[in-house]
Amino acid sequence: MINEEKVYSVYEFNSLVDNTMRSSLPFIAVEGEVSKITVQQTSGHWYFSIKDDKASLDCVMFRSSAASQSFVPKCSDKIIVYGTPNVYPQSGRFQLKCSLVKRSGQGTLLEIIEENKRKWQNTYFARPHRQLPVFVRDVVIITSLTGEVLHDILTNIGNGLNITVVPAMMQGEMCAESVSNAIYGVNKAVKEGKLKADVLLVARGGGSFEDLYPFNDERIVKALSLSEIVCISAIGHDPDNPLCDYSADIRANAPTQAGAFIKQNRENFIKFILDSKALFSERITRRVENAYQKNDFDKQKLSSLLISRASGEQMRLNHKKEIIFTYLVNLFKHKKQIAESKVNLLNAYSPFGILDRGYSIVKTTDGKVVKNVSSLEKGVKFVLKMSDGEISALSEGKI
Amino acid sequence: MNYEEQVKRLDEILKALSDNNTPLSDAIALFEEGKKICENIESTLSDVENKINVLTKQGIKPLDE
Repeated sequence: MINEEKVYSVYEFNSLVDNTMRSSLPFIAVEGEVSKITVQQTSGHWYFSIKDDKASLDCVMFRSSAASQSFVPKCSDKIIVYGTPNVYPQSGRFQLKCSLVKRSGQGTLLEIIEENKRKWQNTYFARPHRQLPVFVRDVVIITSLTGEVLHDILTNIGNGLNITVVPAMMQGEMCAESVSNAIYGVNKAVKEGKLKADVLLVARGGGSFEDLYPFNDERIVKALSLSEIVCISAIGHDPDNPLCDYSADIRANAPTQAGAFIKQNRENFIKFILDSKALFSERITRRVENAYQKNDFDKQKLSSLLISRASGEQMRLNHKKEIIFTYLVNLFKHKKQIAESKVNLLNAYSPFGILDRGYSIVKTTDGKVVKNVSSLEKGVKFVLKMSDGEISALSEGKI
Repeated sequence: MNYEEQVKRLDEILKALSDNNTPLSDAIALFEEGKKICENIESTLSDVENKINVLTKQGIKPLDE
């Protein structure tokens, strides 16, 4: 109850207004556009103003609250501030003491996005994130046929690829449905063998929050998470981070980067092939050379083995020959010795010793020894054996 | 007759000649036979000696030389 009779001091009045306001409007939300903002370096307090087309309002947020805000507003940001109206007793200055600031309009949408981000952590985002196949030849791009995105990608993606473009609505009301259908459609076509795809690229250039918003839609997020083809999300530019980035296998900072990424992948593969080829070729060559060397070495070894074996054999053979020869010579000497002794013995027994004394042996022409003169009648030829030979004789008959 | 058979015959002749009961005529015949055998033996031994000389010239040496 206001006392009409009472006369207030300025301070009292200001305080009264402050209290009255605070009790009837303890906590309110006001929406406006930021017209100016100062963040005091020393204290960390925010001093800012918000306005709409009719009015303006000064605001303050002290450091204790400011520190926990999710963003710092900028001029021309549309925000909703939550706080308590405040009149400073000393100055009578009126401002809104804020404890919370949100983006307006977008605020709700952002909340939804944050909510989904949490919700889908264990579902769509938890899918295994695969890498690009080692060898990529067939690329399918879901994008708009108009605009520069497709051109940028094609410029950066390099050569040697089969590229299929699947047009879709990349913004607006129909975007979520169009893009998710395209993703399912491509997967189906590949499964049915009507289309080849090593990688699926969903690409959209930069844009406003509203433009990119459909890419947070569950339909697109789900479609990417289910894609059997390795998929790349290339929506907007850094730091845009729509939720589809998390459910795709790979996130690209920007569409051109996606193209460059695919090109690099191909170049890496080609380099790998060439390196392998060189390495293989080098190894084969080395193996062949080693084999040759070993073969030469073996041949030499074999030769020297044969030679030493042969000379060994030769030596043994020579040795054997020498042994045999020795036996032969010894046998010969032995037999010669024996023969000589027999010859000597024979000579010793020789009845022809008397011949040397002048006696002769009379033999018939047949060689029979004649002992009687009566055996040799007149006219019979006979033989006289003397010491130095034989004489043929004719008998004159007995004397 | 080979060498060994001839030597054996020579032995028989020598034995007969050493026996005083052998008649002279037989002795003479035996002696002549013996002489022939000796010639043969000497001829054979001479051939072997020549062969040995040839082999020696070829470089094969008996071990004790």
